[in-house]
Amino acid sequence: MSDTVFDKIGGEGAVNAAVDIFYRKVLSDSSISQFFETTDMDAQRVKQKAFLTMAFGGPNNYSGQEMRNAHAPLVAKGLNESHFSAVAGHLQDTLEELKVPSELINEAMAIAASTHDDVLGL
Amino acid sequence: MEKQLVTIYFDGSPLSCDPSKSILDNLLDNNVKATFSCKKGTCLTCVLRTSHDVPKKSQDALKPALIEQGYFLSCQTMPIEGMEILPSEQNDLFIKTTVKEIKQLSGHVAQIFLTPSENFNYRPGQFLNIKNPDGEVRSYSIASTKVQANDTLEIHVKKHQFGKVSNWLGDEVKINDEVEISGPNGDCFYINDQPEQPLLLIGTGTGLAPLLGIMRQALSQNHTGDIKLYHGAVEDDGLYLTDELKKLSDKYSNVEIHLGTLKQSDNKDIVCGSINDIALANHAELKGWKIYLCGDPQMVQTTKQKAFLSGANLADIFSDPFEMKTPVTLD
Repeated sequence: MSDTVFDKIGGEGAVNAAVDIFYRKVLSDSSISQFFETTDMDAQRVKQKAFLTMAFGGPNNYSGQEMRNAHAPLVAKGLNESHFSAVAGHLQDTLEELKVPSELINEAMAIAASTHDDVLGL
Repeated sequence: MEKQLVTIYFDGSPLSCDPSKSILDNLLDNNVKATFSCKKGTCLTCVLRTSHDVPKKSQDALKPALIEQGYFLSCQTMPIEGMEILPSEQNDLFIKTTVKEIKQLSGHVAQIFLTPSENFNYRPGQFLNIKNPDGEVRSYSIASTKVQANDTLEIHVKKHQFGKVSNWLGDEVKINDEVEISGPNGDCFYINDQPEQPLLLIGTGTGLAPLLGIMRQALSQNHTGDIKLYHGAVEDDGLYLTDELKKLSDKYSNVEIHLGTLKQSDNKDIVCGSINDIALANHAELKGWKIYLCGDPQMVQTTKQKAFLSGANLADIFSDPFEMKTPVTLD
């Protein structure tokens, strides 16, 4: 079995390094920050970390149905295509900032793209 | 449509519960006398016991010894059909202390020193819970360190209109009286992993207590990085222990004290404005800083986000929001 991006970039340590950078980017982006603002930033960080772990092909426990259910309240608040693209853009920027090789970035972006329909409830 | 109710057993008695509300709220709805304060999973006063499995967040903040005994936070747990629950054993939780000294400071703040009857291990900045004779429980942060005060615990108590425990402590308790405490709780304390790391401490009101404990602890462990403490209040008299703070900044070259009030002060050393805004304006770049935020929950929350966006790692931001007890509403 071939190694996942998660393994190649250094496992959990690398995800920890990425998660603050990624979370800071989405919170600073006023077009999507409303979906990430919360009273409990630590809980939100845990969610971001789970998302990045999944995008890197690492161990995660999310089914498509769970992704759908978890994002349904956000879809009800207006989550749409443009927000999805913005988040994907921040993921790409984060990985580039961390100097992750481009073929691994492509792999991660493909996994993120595969969640599109579940996240947007399509 | 009628709501589907579930039945739980509290101390052997069946109780009909609304499964969409916490166990604590259900107990209160059923007129069971339950101890609680913040209802947000922070103060840890609403612990009960069960042998049933509970969600992780019901126990996350509890000490292993309490989890072992089946303790859980009743405000963070929903009732499940057939669940059996026991009240907390107060002996598991509370120990006796004796009041050693009380100093009345400005701004209706009392500095109270307590001597525990048994060993009480804590980290300065953590909080303890105090029970008044009516069984009401509230949380107070610890300002003392073992180095500076031996076994004596220092807390700061601000009297206010609805403060059932604070007013008892401030008005009625006398030297040599007995006060019951439990704890310590909380994860807002100094960690001596990087002595050269700069520290930013921001607090409002008696949020000074944990910050003072954290600063004293850092200094006793030879912290070499800068320590910038920002204390804010509504007006001048809410700023207390200013002489003691000044002594620390005179004695240690890495300590800097900043005071701020919302109402313009005659004292030119006191800046006008919200203390968190004043601090963040002075420190636009917080990459590599450790940050401690204590006091008003709204201030803590907004400052935490701003500090994070200014470059601080989330793991380096410690906070202690002083959640007030939700006023009882009759509806």
